[in-house]
Order: sequence, then structure tokens, then C-alpha cells
Amino acid sequence: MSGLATPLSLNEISFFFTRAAVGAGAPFGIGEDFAKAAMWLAFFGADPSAVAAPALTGLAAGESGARLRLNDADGGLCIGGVDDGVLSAIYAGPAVADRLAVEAEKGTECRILVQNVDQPALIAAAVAAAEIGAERIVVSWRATEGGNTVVDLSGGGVEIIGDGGSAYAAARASDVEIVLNGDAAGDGRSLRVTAADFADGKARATSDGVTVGDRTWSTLFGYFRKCLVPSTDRSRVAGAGAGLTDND
Amino acid sequence: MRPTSGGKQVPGLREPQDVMRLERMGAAFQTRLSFMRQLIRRMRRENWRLERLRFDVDAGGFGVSVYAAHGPQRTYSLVAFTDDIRPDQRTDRVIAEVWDGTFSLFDGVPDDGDIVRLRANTPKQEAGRFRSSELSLARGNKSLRLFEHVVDSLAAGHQPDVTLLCEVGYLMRTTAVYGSGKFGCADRAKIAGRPELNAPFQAEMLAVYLIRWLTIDLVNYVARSRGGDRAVQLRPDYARYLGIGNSTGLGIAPFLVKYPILINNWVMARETALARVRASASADAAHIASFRSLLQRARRHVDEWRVEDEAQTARIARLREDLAELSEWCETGLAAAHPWDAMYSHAEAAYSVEGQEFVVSLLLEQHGDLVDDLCDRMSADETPRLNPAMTVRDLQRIIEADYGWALNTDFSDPQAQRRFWYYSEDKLEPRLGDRYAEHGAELEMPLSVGRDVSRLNARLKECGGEETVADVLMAAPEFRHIVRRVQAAADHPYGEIRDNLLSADVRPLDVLRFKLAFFGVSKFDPKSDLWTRVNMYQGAPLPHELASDDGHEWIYPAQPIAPAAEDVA
Repeated sequence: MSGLATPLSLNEISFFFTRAAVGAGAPFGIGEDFAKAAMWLAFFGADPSAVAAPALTGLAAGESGARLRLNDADGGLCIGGVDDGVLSAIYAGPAVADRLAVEAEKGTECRILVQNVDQPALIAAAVAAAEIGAERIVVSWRATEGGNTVVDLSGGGVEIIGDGGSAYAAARASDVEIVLNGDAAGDGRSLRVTAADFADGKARATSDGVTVGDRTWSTLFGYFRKCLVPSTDRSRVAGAGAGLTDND
Repeated sequence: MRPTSGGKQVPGLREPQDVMRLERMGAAFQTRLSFMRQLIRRMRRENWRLERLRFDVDAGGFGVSVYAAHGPQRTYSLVAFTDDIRPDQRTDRVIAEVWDGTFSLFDGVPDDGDIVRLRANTPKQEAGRFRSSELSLARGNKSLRLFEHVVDSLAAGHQPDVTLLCEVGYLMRTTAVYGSGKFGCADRAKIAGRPELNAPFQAEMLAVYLIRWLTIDLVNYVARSRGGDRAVQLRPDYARYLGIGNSTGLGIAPFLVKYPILINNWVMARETALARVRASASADAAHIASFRSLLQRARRHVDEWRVEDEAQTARIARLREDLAELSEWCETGLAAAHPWDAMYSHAEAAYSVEGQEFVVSLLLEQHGDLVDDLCDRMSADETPRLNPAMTVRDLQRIIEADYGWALNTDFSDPQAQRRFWYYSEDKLEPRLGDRYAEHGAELEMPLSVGRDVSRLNARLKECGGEETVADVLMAAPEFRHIVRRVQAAADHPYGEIRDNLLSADVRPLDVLRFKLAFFGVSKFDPKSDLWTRVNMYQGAPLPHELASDDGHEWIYPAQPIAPAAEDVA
């Protein structure tokens, strides 16, 4: 499956992205949340494969670490890699969402700093996909091209603010700040994605599917294929039902 | 946790630990809540108009056809391509590359451009790409011996041999019917809000119903092409008895594990229906007479159920005995208070598991007024969500309450993990492997629920009771999938298969039959532990009969009677 002639359905995103994460070395449950985050990137108007492919490559190559640490920090929490290296957003996203959910249940304010994460947009998408439903959640990071990108998930809606360029894929790691129920500082200039835009994007992805780039899809599909078991004569004959020819 | 329905505890619900065991799942039968039954009732109730829009086939029946189903608000069209393939190419396996018929269910009426695009892709099936205008993708192969016999007979001016017709029961069998976003087709979310498609698998069921119509048209047309004026049309009672076969293999098994909330809703609806019927205080004489007539019809239907598999043959024989005993029991048993509860209790005590589940089917059949509303509860558009704030202690409680079957399995015994389920690189065909004799176990699908719960349980014992799931999963992300699943089980008690799917003696057939019963199929015909043939819509009204129907249900169809010798031309 090289270039796709038609958009991916959301079900295909779920199926392929989950297993691509597994192919890159993540456990299945992490893959499931990775796929959900990818869907939300599509709802944001992004090509999810453009963010997913470098994240998968970094994880598979060992350049993005999967082991996390959680520390108290000034006025909040800090999540980073145990070796202080680049952190995989594939792993960090669900962990951040989990921590936010725990804090949201307390009803308090909280700030979480996620250090040196390879694909910040995936963190935002993972938090969005968790649908925590807190009154105020704002995720922000400094985009590669400069300028802040701010994803405001307050009250269950989505607004994306900033002039960090139109691409969500990051060329290098950066810190991500999440504010729960508190004031969020930002450098936002223009409302890039309004709540109405997001709703339209979600409806469009649901009704028409999601277009992905050929090259990044090819990368992702390569990781997916690592989950497939090579066929043998034995498995071909005996691994499934029905005969190799059926002419009853 | 005691099952609830709609948030309330319902007296008399059968326990999940009994219902969701493979032995009972593998003995399931269709009920009036089954999905193709729901579709037929809706089409009748709403006066759907079915129309053949296009039939561009050659003398051999090869070409393109379009069949439309006009509902009150929308039209859905089956676009069918029938092709001439060689016998050595014909297989029911996922790895097939050509088929006698390939189909798309189109959202609306396709224009010429759609037909051209679908012509280029539909025959390729998984290798093609589709759009959200396609709701379902399917393929099928002829039953060659019956198809040719029927065509030859009709062309010669007489009806086919009814014995052969009944022995096979279908002119074509589908080997896959895809939906829900596969290969670019429309996601379920696109159509779930439409009343006519909200119930599970309605698009797929509609596609199969229209394919059935096509197969009857094909034999009539090809016979006419061969025989000219001498040819006759297939008798309506013969046509009605023909369903669409299906070769069902491992492909549908992962679905039952992947969607625990959906499966819970299916089973909860059925169990609630059974509980309501059992709670009925009495049955009047008319109702009893109607039931006994139904039972008589059902017994004849079971008498006509013939398979080659020895184990299933034995089960059917026992089922016949059970139903014979039930007839005798009905002489006096239905006079009791709560007669239907008495019937089920009697079945539970005296009958085989197949007999008990057949009684469930019978009990629901004539109580549509009591149970049909439950059809609206069978879909689910949510997937399990993780609760990171749950404490370890609360998670352990769920495991103890709902996963005793897993904790009581010794996974250190190699036989307990002998099997593994996986996707093959061969067209992603789902296969079952031997962990100790084949490669690939490290790539197994997450169907290892019991083993994973066992491992999770062991890990949780190392944690403090007040730790949160978030804490555990940050340190051990490998448990994320199973924790989410266990949490879902707390509120969806029927969502889990309570048996070890990795066991050396697992019968995937039990999983297949369970799902197929909810589809509404009949005449389970196991060919091995890995696959079965079945019949869909056997006895269902033909398209032109939907409007004139008197509301009589078509279940438990009996074989048509062969005409007298003088009637044969």
C-alpha cells in the first residue's frame, strides 16, 4: 500500500496507527492512544502522518526515549525522560493525559511541564483525545519556526492560536507547557483554528476521511508491516479455515 | 457485579460467567433481535421500495448490476460486478484474489462515473480503494454445483431438484462483508445517526439481502439465455428458501474482543429480553397455541438441518430430542404460573446447551411487543476509556469480581498459551498459530485477555492500594491496554469472553457462531474448528413480497415440497 488513492477512514487510522506504534516498539495500549491522538490531529486540520512518521522513526531508532519520570516542579509537575534525553510524545502523551485527569478530578489548578518532547503537537492531541472535560486546559509549545502554538481545550472545545507555521510536525524537540484551570501565558497572535473550524474539521474527517501524505504514509505503513507475521506453507494451509480452492 | 439494564438491576438476567463462556456462546441461535431480522421488519414497517436499476450482463450473467433500496429518507444501492473466473482461482479464503461476484453498497444512487470508479476497484476488494460513498464492500462465490444445476434445469423448462436445492441452500456464498471504514469506506460514525442504519451491521445486512436478490435474477436470466422460450422461472417458494451462504473464518473473531461495550450491549439486550419473557405471569390459550405451532415449525426446521461434521451432527441429534421432549412438556407445562420461566428452567435442568439456547430463541420469538424495543439498545458508539484516577485497590476489586476465570487459569502450563492469533502478511489474513511450533508469537494480536489480566494482577500486588492507575501506567505502560479493558468490564459485564482464547483446545468456531447468531444466520455447518458455512436470509421474504407481507415472521423456514411428477415439464 504505497500512495493512497482515497482518504483514510477514521477506522483505518485507528487500525494502522495503533499497529505502526507497535511496530516501532510501543505496547498495544500506547498504540491505541497514539491512534486516537492522530485522529485528533486530523480534526485540527493536520495531516496526522506528518507528525506520526517522525515520532515513530525517533522511537524505533532509540532517539526518543520511552521511559518517563515525574517530578514536582515550581508550582506544578515536570515530566521528562529518565535519562533527560529527547522524550517520545508517543509515550508522553498518554502519561500527560493521565496526570491531567487525576489533577482535574481534584478540581485544583496545576501546571505540567513536559521536557524536551520530540513532537509537541502529539501531546496536545493526546490531551484533546482524552476529553478530560476540565473547565480550562491550555497546551502550548514553541514551534520550530518560532512563535508559540497554543491549543486551548477549555470547556470541551478546541481553539488553536499562534503563528508557529502551518505544520504541526516539529523538526526538533521542545518543551510543552500544560495549564489546568489556571491562567495560561501565550504569545498568540491569530486564531488559527476556531472552535467552529474544529467542529467542521471533525465532521469532515468523519464524513470524508483523512488525506495523508504519500511519503509519511509510506513510513508509517512500513512500521505497520512489522506487526505482520510472514506466511509459511504450514500457516497458509492450516492457519485459517476454508480450502485453498472451493468449488462445491 | 450483578448485571443491570438501563441502570437498573433486572431480575432474572442470566449471569455473565455462564452466558459468556465459549461452550454457550458456541451454541447460540438467532433471535428476533438479530440484525437481519431487524432489517426485514424495518423494511416492511416503512414500506421500503426495492428496485433493479441496471442489469447489464451477458448471456453468462457476467457484467454489472445495480439494485436500489429506497427507504423513507434515503436510497442505498448495491453495485454488483459478476465475473467469469477459473475453478482453480475460486477460494473462500481471505487470500483469494478473484471472485464470482464483488459488491459495493453505495450511499445513494451511483452515476456513471461512480460505476467506472467502482469497476476499477470493487473486483480488487482489499487491494482497491474506496470512498465514504461506499458503505460496505463484499464478495462471493457461487455454489457451482447448485448454480449450474438450477440454470440447466430452468433452461430445460423444469424446476431444479428440490433435494439438491435444499441440501446446499444458496446459489452464492459471501466470503467477506466489510464495513465501518475498511479500505476507505464510510466510517460507522458517518451513518450511525441515521435511524435505518443505527442498529449494528444494517448496511452489511442490506448488502447481503440485495445480493440474494441478484443471485435469483442471475439464474433466471442465464437460464433464459440458454433455453430461450423453453426456459421457466424459479418457483417463488424455491427462491424464498434460497439464502445467501457465508464462509466464516477467523476474521470475525478479533472483533468480538475488540469491542467489549458493543458486545455487552448485544448480549444485555438479549438477556433482558429473555428476563422480560420469563417474568410474564401467564399465557392465554391463543398464545399457547401459537407457540406450539411455532415449535412444530422449529422442529421441522431442525430435522432438516444436516451437516457433515460429526460433533455438530451429534449436537443436532440431541437438539431434536430436546425439542421432542419440549413438545411433550408443553402439554401441561404451559399451564403453570410464569409458564415461560418454567419452560426455561426446565430446559436449563434437562436439555443440552444447544437445546437451552434454542429455547431462548423460541421464547423471544412471539414476544415482539415485549422485547423489540431492546433493538434500540444494541449499538454502541463509544470505546473503553481509561480512568487514570482509579486506585489500585478498586482495580483489583474489578479483577476479583469479573476475572476469576482468568485468575484460576494456570498460565505457566504451556497448553494454556499454546495458541496465538495474528495477522499474516498474506493480505492481512487472520490466522491461528502454534506458539511452540511456529514463528510470530511475539506479534500476536491482543486476544490474550486472560493471560494479560493474570499478569496485571501480579503487578498490582507490588503496588500500594492507594496508588492511582496513572502512577502504575507511567512506570509500566505495557499494561495500558488491559487496564482499560478491565475498567470497562465493571460496567459492561457481558462484554468479555470468559474463556482463555490462547488455550490449546480453544474452538474459534464458538466465537464465530456467537457473532453469526446475532447477525441472524441459520444452518451452522462447521467445516473445522476454524471456519463454518452458514445461511443468511433463508426463508426471508423476497423483495416484491415485503410490501404484501402479512407480518408473519419468516424464521425456521421449512424446505419447499417437490412438485408432483405431472407438474414437472
